[in-house]
Amino acid sequence: MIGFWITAALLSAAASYFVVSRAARLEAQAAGAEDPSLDVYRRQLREMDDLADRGLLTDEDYRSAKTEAARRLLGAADQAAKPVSATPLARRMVFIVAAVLPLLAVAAYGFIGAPGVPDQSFASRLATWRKVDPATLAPLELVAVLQAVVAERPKDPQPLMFLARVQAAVGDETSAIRNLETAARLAPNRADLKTLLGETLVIQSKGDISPDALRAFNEALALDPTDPSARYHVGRALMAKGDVAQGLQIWNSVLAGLPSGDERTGGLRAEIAEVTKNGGLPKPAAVEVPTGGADQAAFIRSMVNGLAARLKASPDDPAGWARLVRSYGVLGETEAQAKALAEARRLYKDRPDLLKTIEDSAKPLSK
Amino acid sequence: MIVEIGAFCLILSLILSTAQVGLSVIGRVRRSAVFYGAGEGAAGAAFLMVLIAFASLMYAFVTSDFSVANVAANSHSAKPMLYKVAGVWGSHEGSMLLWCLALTGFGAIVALLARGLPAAMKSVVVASQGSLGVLFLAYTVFASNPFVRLLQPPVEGRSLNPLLQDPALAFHPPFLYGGYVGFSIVFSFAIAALIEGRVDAAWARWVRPWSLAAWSLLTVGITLGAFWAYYELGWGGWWFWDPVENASFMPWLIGTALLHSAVVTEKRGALPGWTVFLALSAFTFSMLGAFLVRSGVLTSVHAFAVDPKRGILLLTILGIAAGAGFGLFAWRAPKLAPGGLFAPISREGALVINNLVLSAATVTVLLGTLYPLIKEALTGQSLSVGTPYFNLTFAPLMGLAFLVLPIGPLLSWKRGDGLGALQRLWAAAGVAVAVGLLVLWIQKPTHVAAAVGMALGVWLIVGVLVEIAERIHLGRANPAEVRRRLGGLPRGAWGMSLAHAGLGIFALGACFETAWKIEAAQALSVNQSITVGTYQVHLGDVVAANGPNYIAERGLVTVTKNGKLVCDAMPERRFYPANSQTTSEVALCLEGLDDVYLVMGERRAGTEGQPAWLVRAYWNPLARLIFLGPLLMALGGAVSLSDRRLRFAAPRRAAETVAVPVPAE
Repeated sequence: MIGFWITAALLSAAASYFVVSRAARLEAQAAGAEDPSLDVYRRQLREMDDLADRGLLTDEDYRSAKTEAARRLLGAADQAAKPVSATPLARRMVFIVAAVLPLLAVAAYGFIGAPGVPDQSFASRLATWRKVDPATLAPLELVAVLQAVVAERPKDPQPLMFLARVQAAVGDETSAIRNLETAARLAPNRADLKTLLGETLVIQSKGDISPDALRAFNEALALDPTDPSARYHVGRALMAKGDVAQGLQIWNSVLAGLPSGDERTGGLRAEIAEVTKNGGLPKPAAVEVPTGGADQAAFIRSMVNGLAARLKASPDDPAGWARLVRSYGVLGETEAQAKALAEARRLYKDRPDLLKTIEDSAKPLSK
Repeated sequence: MIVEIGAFCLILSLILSTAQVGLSVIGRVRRSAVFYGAGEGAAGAAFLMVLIAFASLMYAFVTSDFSVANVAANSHSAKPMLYKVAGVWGSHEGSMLLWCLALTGFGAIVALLARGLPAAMKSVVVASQGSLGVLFLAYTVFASNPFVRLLQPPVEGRSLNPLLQDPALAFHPPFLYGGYVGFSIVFSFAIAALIEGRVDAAWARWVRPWSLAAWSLLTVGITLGAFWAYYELGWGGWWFWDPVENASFMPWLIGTALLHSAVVTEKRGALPGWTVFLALSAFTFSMLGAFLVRSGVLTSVHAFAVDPKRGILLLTILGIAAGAGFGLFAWRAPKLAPGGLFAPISREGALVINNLVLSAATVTVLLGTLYPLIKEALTGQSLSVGTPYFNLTFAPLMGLAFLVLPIGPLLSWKRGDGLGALQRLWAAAGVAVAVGLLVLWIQKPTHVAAAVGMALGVWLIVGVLVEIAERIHLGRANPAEVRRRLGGLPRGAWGMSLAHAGLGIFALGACFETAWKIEAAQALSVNQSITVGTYQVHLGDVVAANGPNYIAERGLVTVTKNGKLVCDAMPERRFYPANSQTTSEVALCLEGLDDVYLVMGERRAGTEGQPAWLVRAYWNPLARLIFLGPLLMALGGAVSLSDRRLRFAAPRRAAETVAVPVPAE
């Protein structure tokens, strides 16, 4: 803080000195000064002589132009500038102005500036985050820390996987997928990375199991045929294609293989019952986010919670608010949705354009 | 601390600019050298403070200090360093700071370095420039402050619009603003001329270097912007008559008229009122451009900051500055001494036609830009004014200007020999007509307008050569005399020739490219090809190519002609996670002056289950001339500017050492 005021004082003094020194310099130069426009006309006359010497001007043009320029010179000489004056009063006034300038600047800065707020470079903030317990960090802070770790250990798939998990949780599935692909390339024999990649692809495509996701699950199963999540998704993909019996068979097998007390058991059993009752998966239009799989549901929940936490930490993100409002709507959490919407309205009360986008997100996707 | 020092310096610069106005005005009233000097010192100090503020903001961007709201909204820690730096002027607030930097910078140059000006006139120029500084600095400090802090800074920034993360666009604004704001000095000189009641040859000579500098910078800025639009937006075009493009084009047109009109005032003392009017108009159009881009009244890919409240403030600034300028003009212009007389057929006459045409062209562009806004405001109906309007109004006017252009330099001042000038240009006319007919005959499909445009381009270029040949007596004097004359040609004359030839080169490229470009588009899977003109475009592979802040699919494309390799090109489709935005990175294959222009679309389902990408390929013949021509024009401006007699400071040394050649332009 003291450093700031010393620097500000030095800069103000420099500015005042500039004003005073230039005033003194011009006062010294003023005596005997001639109207500079006379010089312009004299130069014009000389230029014409030079032009004629080079043969670039005809005699007639030369005479005519020279007469005109000479007339201008005489005219300017008649209107030569009046002598300038300098009085002690003028000097005093300039000194007073130079002294008052910094005071005015300090007063205005007091109103407008943010005295005492330090610089907060990303590097210094990152260094602080790296020193504290990761559990206390906000998701995006964790992303930044993990990105730094990845940059230090580019060949290590583990930090990449952690980074991807947090990125997916905060809604940045694209970066998560890129990092999981890199991690899977670095550790080609790890089934969990392939499964995680597949799951993230499913989240990105809002519940659809895309060919890329299916390929990732199949690659995971080639490495670990017992992987419950990969088997669950392969079964789901079969059902989506119409092979309900085969899909159910896989799901039942997954259910049987889950250890007792596994929190995914309840959700999967309910899904099996629903598919059995309906003879197939629920229509995708009814839900925007996939409802199947305890892993998936937990993941989606963590994603929405992560987004909410991120917006709490850094609220100025209209796209984030729109996503949060839409997510709550899809999950049927009307109370949370109304709360998020109210907060967004408060934040963007002066930006109707942004607010409209956020409010539109609250509307149902299909009518 | 550094960010807050920047905030403090910005405020101090506003106070200094206010002092600059007050001290200079008192100096002028009391004719006091002490006050003159104090005003000039304040101008220099104000620039220094804005420079420190600008450097502080750049520091915040470079270090990704997201506690600065402007950095948080326009930068990202993973952004490449060039775009972190360019991010300083990539936002509304930062670009206004750049504007203020240029404004105070030009003011400081006049105040501290221009020694050849009468003290009274200089003090008015400094006061006027200070007034503009007060308006824009006050706007920046109170309504658009780039140093606003966030008490809870976000972890990451929202990053800069990916479309702006491009080298051409990184350098485009500094040039553009240099041009826009360069006209502020011309504006201030006009104010001084009106207050002092003095618009004469000397005044015109003081104004010309500033007009030339601003015009050259603006030319480079607009060219960079057009080149960016050409290869970054991926539509294959380089000029769209977009309102924001027009906003930069109008001051350029007026600035071009001013350059020519100032020559008449300098050489003959004629057209004083008109030259002052143009000097006021050039900066008024610059301010209008700033308002249009930032107010949200226009819908444009370029309109990067849309805020109606700030728009009203900018409109107020425009009203105050332009109102004061033109009000003063209305009051004082009738009292200006009339200039030298001239016959209709004379160098002055040709320059008057040039001015009339350029002014009319500016009005057509202004109408085309504002009419949709006026119509919507009055009737609520939206309307789009596009290329057909400008082809019908702007193009014929420019055709007339092109027709007259080579004749002017061959006419004498006061009273010219029109027939003689035309006789000397018969070769240029013959070549131009021949080229036009040849193009009509050879090039299919037939485009008469384009052939006429090409003929006019050739007319300009050959006209320039004829004019130089005339000056050096080529074919009329012995070789030694010709060489002596060639060596004696002043830089101003070379500058004019370069600028006129550049315009011709631009016309050739623009007409040919627009009329005969060929486009082909097809969804290609790997190892498939399309043909565009005589080129075969083969998609060899598509690979992942991730950058520091984007994820990309990169097409590995081979372009061949008659089986011979022309180039390996790599168009990309990039996704920027920080902005959730996708961009197309165009690949350009340069062959001679032609471009093979390749854009890769998003992945889609192709035949036999293979993924495919929509590949659009253009053959843009002579496209490089479109950008080389204006750069040559800007070079012409710079060469003219290097003419000793036009240097800003008009150093005394130049007056003492006499041997200064005179440009005969």
